[in-house]
Amino acid sequence: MKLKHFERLRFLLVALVFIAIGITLFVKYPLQSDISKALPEDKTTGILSLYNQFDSSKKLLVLVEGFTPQSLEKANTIKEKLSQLSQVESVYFGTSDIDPKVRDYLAKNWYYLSDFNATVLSRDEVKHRLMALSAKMLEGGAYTPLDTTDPLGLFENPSFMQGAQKDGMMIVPNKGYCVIASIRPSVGDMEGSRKLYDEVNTALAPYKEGIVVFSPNFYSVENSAYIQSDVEKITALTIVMLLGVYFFLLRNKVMLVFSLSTLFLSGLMAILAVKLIFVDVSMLVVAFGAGIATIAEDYLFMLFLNDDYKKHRFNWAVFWGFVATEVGLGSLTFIDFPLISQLALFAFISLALSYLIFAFIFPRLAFYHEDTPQKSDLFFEKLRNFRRIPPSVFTVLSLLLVALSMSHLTFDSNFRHLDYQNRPLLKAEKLFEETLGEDRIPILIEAKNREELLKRAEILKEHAPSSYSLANMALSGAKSTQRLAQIRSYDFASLRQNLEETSVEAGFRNGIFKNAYLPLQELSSYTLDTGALRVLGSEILTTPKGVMSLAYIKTDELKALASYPFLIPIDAKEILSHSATNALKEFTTIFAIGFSLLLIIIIAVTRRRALYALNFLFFPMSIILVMFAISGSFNLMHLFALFLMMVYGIDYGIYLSRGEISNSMRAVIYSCLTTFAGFGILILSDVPAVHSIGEVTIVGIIAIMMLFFQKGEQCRV
Amino acid sequence: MRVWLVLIFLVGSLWAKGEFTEKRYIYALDKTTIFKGSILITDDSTIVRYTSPEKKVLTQTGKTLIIEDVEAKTSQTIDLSKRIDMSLYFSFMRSINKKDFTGLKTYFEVNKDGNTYHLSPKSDVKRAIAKMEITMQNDEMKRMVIYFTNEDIIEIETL
Repeated sequence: MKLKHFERLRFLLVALVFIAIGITLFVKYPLQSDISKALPEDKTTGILSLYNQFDSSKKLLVLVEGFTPQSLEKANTIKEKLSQLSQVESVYFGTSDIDPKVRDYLAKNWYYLSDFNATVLSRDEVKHRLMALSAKMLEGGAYTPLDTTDPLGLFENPSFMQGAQKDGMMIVPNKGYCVIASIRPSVGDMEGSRKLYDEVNTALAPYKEGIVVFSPNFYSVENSAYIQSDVEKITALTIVMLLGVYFFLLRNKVMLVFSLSTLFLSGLMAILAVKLIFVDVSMLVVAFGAGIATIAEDYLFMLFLNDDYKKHRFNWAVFWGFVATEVGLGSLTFIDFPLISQLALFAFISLALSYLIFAFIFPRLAFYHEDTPQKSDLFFEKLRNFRRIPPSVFTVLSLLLVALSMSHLTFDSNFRHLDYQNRPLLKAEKLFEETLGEDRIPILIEAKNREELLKRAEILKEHAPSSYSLANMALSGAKSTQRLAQIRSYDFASLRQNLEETSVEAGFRNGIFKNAYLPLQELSSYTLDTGALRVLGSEILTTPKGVMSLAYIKTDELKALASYPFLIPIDAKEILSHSATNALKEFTTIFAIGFSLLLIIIIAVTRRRALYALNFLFFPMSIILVMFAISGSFNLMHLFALFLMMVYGIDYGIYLSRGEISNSMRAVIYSCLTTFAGFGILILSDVPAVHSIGEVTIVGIIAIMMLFFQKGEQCRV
Repeated sequence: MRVWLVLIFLVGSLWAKGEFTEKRYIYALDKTTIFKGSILITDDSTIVRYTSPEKKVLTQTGKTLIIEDVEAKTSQTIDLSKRIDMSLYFSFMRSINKKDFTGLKTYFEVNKDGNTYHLSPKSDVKRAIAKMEITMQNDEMKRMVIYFTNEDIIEIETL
């Protein structure tokens, strides 16, 4: 008796020490609440990450509804307010907001950036052009101020990429004025984004009526906060539910404390191990983890209710069930999808620790099942009498359901559907799409160095004339040298003389063109200003491989660029879909390997009774597939949950296949209740990734409970 | 140095639904021309009809401006999204038409002296316009004078 108390005290002390260390480390290295960190990173999503580093993706937009004078005044006030914020670099609203860097750059390099018509003009041609000009200036219609520096229009304005405008102000067509701010934090900079979010909300609080504010950075801030609160809510609810269920089922307060300590310790150690292996661990792992960790309680139910502790025997059925579960979870850790691999690893470690403690340490703590008959025993005995459906019926039914549902399965490849659906922000984003994107899509230009990048942008311009890229606002060294040589070889002195001589004949004042084309005589060499280019939307980004720049092209010009591998179109939806489809392929392969291993284990362990046990694999799977077919689509988290349900189902299958006794039934039914409390509760979450697991779990549990009506091949009472 | 932002003024269009005369002095040619016409501003478009000395119709709808020569039966289409200067012009036109100076304040310092508004340009507008004067009568536009930096002067009066 004394030994029992000593063992229990020692267990509690050791557990408390580890829990204390674990909590300290957990607080010191917090988890990520940004779901994007939990998504797979491959070559395609890497491109998206690069895109997010460009300043042109760092935008904040404010729509001031309406085109009234009050709206305009409000937009101007908002522009002033935003320009004072520390996380805002510059604000653009009207044409008067041109950055001084840009003005200087354009002024210095005007003759390089404009299109130059180098046709040599004779004296008569000059006179003819001037006469046409004077006639145009005197006629009605648009008044054009005379440009005395280039009266013959030899240099044509460079083209800028423009958003929708009204009266020189940026607008969202048919909605209102639009203030555009360039912000400092990138989408991935969580701290900066949060600071921006707070600053903007405080600054614009007095004007919030009739405005819509959007920045891609707000998704991570708002969704993270929501996910964190959702996870906390779900985790708290799970714990309360489980405490209730455990207390109701075990009715042993002391053992309840010990089993909860075990689960908590296992979960904590598992999350720390996951954090050690994966640097960025999603907060969602905790939400699922709380549920997964509690599944380990099943082992306690099975060992305790089967009197294994009392009789000091090793339960091989529970052991093989555990092995099958671990093999399944272990195979999932290899999938290149952080959220799934993290969860699988978490489950693998926490279940292993819990099993080891329940199977090898708990027997020393001397918790014994009461032998006194209870009312509930009668219920389980009666339930046993309903087990009359032959296993083959469930097997055939499973095969039929799988065949029926297969043709109706659609994979939802949009990763964004897994994230919290922030409807106000999604609505705001759509609103601004028209202003910013119109029918153009971004394209990445890759090169080893700046000169090559500029040349490649020039190639892009050649094949997609209406594109906007670095080539619109900058010249390669080769092209600028060529332009300089072209200008120097043009006889501007002679042209000016012709202008002076013929201007009076054409009706102009004498000497009005004395300064025409004068700056070209001493034209300095072209100077690239990356700062000005950045403001103009043609940023040059240095990467470990070289340099990159963004261009914007019309969708119909995309085909002409297919043969240039250094031009990479960025379609976020397409990229994420491609990535999800890759993850699905990988998942399918791992699923097939895991499934085969599970089959081998079940057949090896249960042999003659294999069909009975296998139904715990087939039947939940078939019912869940039917659910996918009815709901229209399934995602990767659905698949993950399906795999989990199969793995847990096998646990029950192996355990029950050895022959049904009322306590085995009781243990499995109790396990189903705890699975529902730990996992099914996730259906209450508003985060689709979490909700999906809850859905599958509930359907899976219903399928497993239906299998209680399966007739066992052998009956041991 | 080349002025990047060249303003183009479609003069004579400063009055909604009214007739006007426009006296345009071009310094480079040392000539003055007088134009007559009318203007109509609706929610979606602006139509300016010149009746003398030539017949021309200018129709602005959204991002497009069509200049039509009635006698020669020719027309020219200008994409206003590529012409910041023209966009500015329409901004001024609508502001004056609505007697609302909020839009103009983005580009001008506005001071009122009796019935006359004095507009001093700021930012890039300064490169093209020296000053503007707008005189009101019975809360309606009576006269406007634009002094350009190149010494051109445009004077418009309602009839």
